[in-house]
Amino acid sequence: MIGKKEFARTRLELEARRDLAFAGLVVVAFCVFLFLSISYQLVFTIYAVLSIFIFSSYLVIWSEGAGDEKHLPAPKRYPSVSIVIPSYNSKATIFRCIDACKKMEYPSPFEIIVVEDGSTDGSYELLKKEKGIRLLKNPRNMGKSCALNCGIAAAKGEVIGCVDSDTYPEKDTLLKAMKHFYEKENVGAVVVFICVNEPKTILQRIQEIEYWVSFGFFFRVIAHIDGIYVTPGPTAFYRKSVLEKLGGFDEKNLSEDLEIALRMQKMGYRIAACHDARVWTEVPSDLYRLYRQRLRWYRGGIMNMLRYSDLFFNPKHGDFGFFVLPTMLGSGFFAALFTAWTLFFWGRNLLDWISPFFFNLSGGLAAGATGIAYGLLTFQSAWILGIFSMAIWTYFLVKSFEIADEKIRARHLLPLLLLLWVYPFFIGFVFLVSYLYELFGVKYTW
Amino acid sequence: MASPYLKAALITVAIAALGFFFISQLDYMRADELRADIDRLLFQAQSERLMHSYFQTMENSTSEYCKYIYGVGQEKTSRIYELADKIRYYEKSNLVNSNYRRIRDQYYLSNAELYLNARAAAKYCGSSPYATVLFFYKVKEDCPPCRAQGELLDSVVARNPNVRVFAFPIDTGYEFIDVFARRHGITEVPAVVINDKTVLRGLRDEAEIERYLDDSAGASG
Repeated sequence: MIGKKEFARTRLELEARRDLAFAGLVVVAFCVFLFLSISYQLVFTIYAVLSIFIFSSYLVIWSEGAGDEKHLPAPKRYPSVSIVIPSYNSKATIFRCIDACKKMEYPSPFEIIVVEDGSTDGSYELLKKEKGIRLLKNPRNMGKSCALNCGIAAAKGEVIGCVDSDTYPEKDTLLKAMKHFYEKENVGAVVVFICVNEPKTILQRIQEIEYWVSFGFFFRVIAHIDGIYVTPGPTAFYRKSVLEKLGGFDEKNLSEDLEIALRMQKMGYRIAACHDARVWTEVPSDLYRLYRQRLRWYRGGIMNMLRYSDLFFNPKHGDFGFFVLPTMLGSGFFAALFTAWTLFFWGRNLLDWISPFFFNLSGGLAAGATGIAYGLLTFQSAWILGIFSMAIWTYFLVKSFEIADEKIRARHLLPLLLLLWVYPFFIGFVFLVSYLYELFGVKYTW
Repeated sequence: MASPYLKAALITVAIAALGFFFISQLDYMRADELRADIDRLLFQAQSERLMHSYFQTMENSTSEYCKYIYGVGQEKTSRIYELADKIRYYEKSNLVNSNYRRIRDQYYLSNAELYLNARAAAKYCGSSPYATVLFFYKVKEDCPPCRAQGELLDSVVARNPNVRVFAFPIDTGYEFIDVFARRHGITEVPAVVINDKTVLRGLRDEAEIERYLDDSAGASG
């Protein structure tokens, strides 16, 4: 048992719920008006041109240095490190995680702290037998951020490595990642390349590629312009002094990893990315769990972006304020809007095709067939712009595979197709639900 | 130093320009396809009118005229909605071509003219075994029973090749369509008028329409 709390906590809550809900209603009303008065073509065109601009920006930044391999010299002295692993009912994975952490090679001292957060699966008893770790215990389940803060308060290292209990680092992860604290000035945190561990289901295979693209390609691009907006929960390294100055993780936050990164950016710390250091993490295997996970991410995203809205278009924060944050929030918002639009558009079409059926059976069936033949299969002219943005995406995919040291094989084809054509609708749908939940203040439970 | 975003904007403009070039190509190709279809209708209407003038000008040419008109009637068994649907969906998927007003005008004009020619032919050649069916529907707002009725009329035409259906939307504001509808006192759709005599209001199934067709043929024959 430890006495927690050396640092003052930040509590982040949205006070302005009612104003927000009102603003939300205005936005919804405006969207309904748009849906009814603007053609699908026009909405698609605007969406496509905006995405092409964002993708082209990534392309240019990639070609202007983000794509180059980095070879950093070893620092004169490696800092001491404390790995903090919060554990809640993680009997199935935590021992593999601890094992992987122990096997990491590192010249300076490093310790492993496991914070037991009121598990009910008996993992505490098993953990007590584990050698070579420092075991801390929360009196009851207090949440991940709280567990991390406990661990940090007790940590002796100069650098804190926050590792999820279902994430397995590689032998050289620590060694490679630590160099990046000396890559440039004022680096407060280093993120690593997060990969999907042993994907089995098709959904996990889709996420495998998605992680290569977002933590591989996109992270490399935004790291180049000092625009990393999240220090991913599975594994991230922080300078302890910086965490202390910031006041630790926010214990009232849906996505504490996003919040701490935004806070670091706000305080002017840099976040470096190390792509040759990998960790392997477990990802949701079925749709419902994935839905829950993403709902948490995106709701946390909206909440924290609003909280840190003063960073938007703030000249002090350069590319981060002018490009990364607006495109982050904008692409989510557009994805939600576009999904709503598509649901509305196809729903209406579907109604148009099915409703004759209720008036006359054979006439209705024939009308439905005609509707599908003409309505569904007629190529919308604006889709041509979609083809162009798909072409740029293909380049991103190829680069992502290169970063992950993978060749595109036959087994990747189905997940790739689903990732490009079906998955976006799922993501857009979750964004839509997130916005609606946030607007109407639906309570979130972990 | 050029900002990466400026470069990205230039790339975007270039891609958009290329995209819009292809889009306009596609849009004009489709408009051309529609125009070709409508040209065929216009040609048919004009040849029928020509034959009618010929018959009125020359003596003893009624049989030639009727043979021509029946021949055309026999060929014309494609879906009545087909071209209207094509115009509707192409217009929806269209981004840059704004000539659809003209395409629609020409389509309804040629349809009206074909209808008039058919009535003229029926007057001189007798409507049996040759029947004209006027079909009124809506396009601006959803009309599910109209779509069902259209498909049912299609299957009637498929079974009875000497039936010709002329479909007119009553909510498009064309004066000549309003005249047709007013003459038969039609304010609600779907409505079907057989041989300019029998007015059927509301959705009717194939058997019913065929019965009225037979009655109508018997009455005039």
